Amino acid sequence: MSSLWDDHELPPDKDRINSRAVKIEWITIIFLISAIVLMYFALGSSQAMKTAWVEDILSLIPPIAFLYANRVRRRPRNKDFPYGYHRAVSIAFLLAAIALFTLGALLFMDSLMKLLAFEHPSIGTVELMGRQIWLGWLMIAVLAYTTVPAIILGRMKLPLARQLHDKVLHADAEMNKADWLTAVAAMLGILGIGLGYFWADAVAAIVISLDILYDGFKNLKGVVWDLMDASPRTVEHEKTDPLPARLETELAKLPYVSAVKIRLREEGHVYFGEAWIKFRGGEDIAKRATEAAEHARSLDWRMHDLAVMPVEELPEELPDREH
Amino acid sequence: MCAVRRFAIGLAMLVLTAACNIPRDPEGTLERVTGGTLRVGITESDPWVIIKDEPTGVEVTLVEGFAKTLSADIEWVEGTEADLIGALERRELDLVIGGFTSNSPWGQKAAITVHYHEVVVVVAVPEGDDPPNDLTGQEVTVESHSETAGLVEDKGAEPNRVPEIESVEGPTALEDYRLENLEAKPTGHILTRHKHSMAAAPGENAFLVSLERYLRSRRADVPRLLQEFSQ
Repeated sequence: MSSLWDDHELPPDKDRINSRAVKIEWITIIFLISAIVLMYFALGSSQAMKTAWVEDILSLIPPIAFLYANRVRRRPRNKDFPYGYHRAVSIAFLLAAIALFTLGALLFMDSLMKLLAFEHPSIGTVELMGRQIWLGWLMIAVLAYTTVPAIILGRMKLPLARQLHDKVLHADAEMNKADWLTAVAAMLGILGIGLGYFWADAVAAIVISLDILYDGFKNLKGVVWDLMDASPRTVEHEKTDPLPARLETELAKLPYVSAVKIRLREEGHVYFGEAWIKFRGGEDIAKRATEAAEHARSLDWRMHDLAVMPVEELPEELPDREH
Repeated sequence: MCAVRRFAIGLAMLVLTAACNIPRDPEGTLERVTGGTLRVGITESDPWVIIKDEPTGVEVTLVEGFAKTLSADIEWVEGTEADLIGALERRELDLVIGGFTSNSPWGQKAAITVHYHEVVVVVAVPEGDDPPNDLTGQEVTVESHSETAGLVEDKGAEPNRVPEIESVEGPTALEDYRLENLEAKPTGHILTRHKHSMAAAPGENAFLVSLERYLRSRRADVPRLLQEFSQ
């Protein structure tokens, strides 16, 4: 008898994509650590520079959360965790979303205070290979170094996040975007200071912080919805995932099904849920229910765990889906 | 994409043409001081700033040299550290000196320069004596009312407080520049390091850069000045 559940979460082709994502996340961590060390030595008193540094430290949270969740999520179901460990991914998403939002809030508050205090950032000189140069140039060089990999890594993560339905990875890609945007803002801010506009630094940081706050809020909302068992949504958090509606349509096409209602929730990468089915005729209900569940699972890898309940009438409390 | 590239090229050209006079001062301090008056706050800190009739000392000499490079006159303003830094923060002064170190708590209100000299506080013994390997339980002479007593205790030694160190007889906590005059030698036990800096008006980066360049160029002369003013 075929099993009602797969013991694996990702099908083999997705597993390969996942291995790539894991590799990219390790590269991200290595790059971030190098940026953190480098920036520490070029810090000085530029506000945007300091925040870019704190930001790089916060940016470590999503990739670490991703890698850890990636281990936990595979564990098999057991007595204590009858639903398995898939939601480890949602918890990692929660951490990533909080990191992103904190970052935006931190940057915003900090820069606003500096601006209101009318603080004049001082940037002196540094001795580099026997030459005395303005520390600002060194800061800009270090920041430029941090932007390029952040742009590339972020761009590489986005398509993988979509294919894996991995919201942690998506939040991390947005974190990378926040990273390089802040770095660019910091560069402009330092250049502004160099030109004699002491407020340039803080203003640049405020503008960027608003963008990060928006991304952070979107992600926080997304993760709260997921944990509230809201209808599954795409990794961009903008749209309702069409999969549940599609499953309903497909199941209704089965010759022995007269009506069906489905309710799904996200457990990390995959969906769990229930299907209430009104069967035509009364024979072999048990066999047909099993068949229907298997059929649903064969339609999409994300349909991981579907409990089928034969009913006489569909539950009215569950709103009808628009097909 | 084309617009982005044009913007990037334009920005790069702007930066390159401006690069020679970056950084600039938001309030134009360097420009005003050059050929004008350098307003310097001073607070007593022997041997860095000694105030008698006229201010003298290591830092006073350095500032006089710096003013000369800018063909500037100096207006000395005496006051307490907090008052002077307050005035500096509002750019009513251009520079404050008084034995500041890079650990001075004024980093938020003033631009602390790179250090122009590092003073090492060591445990010294008379030139003929053998230095003790271990300070634990040793009696070390320290100047009273200074941080050295605590530093010596951290090393497990017993501080012997005297009002002023005029000669070295046994192990004594001492700034490295006083060793020669007191005919003492270091023991290898270092108590602390002080990186001496000045406080410049915050955000006046062109002024700060030219001051730091000058201070770096004078680093080699500081030991001689210290000998001169710590006699």
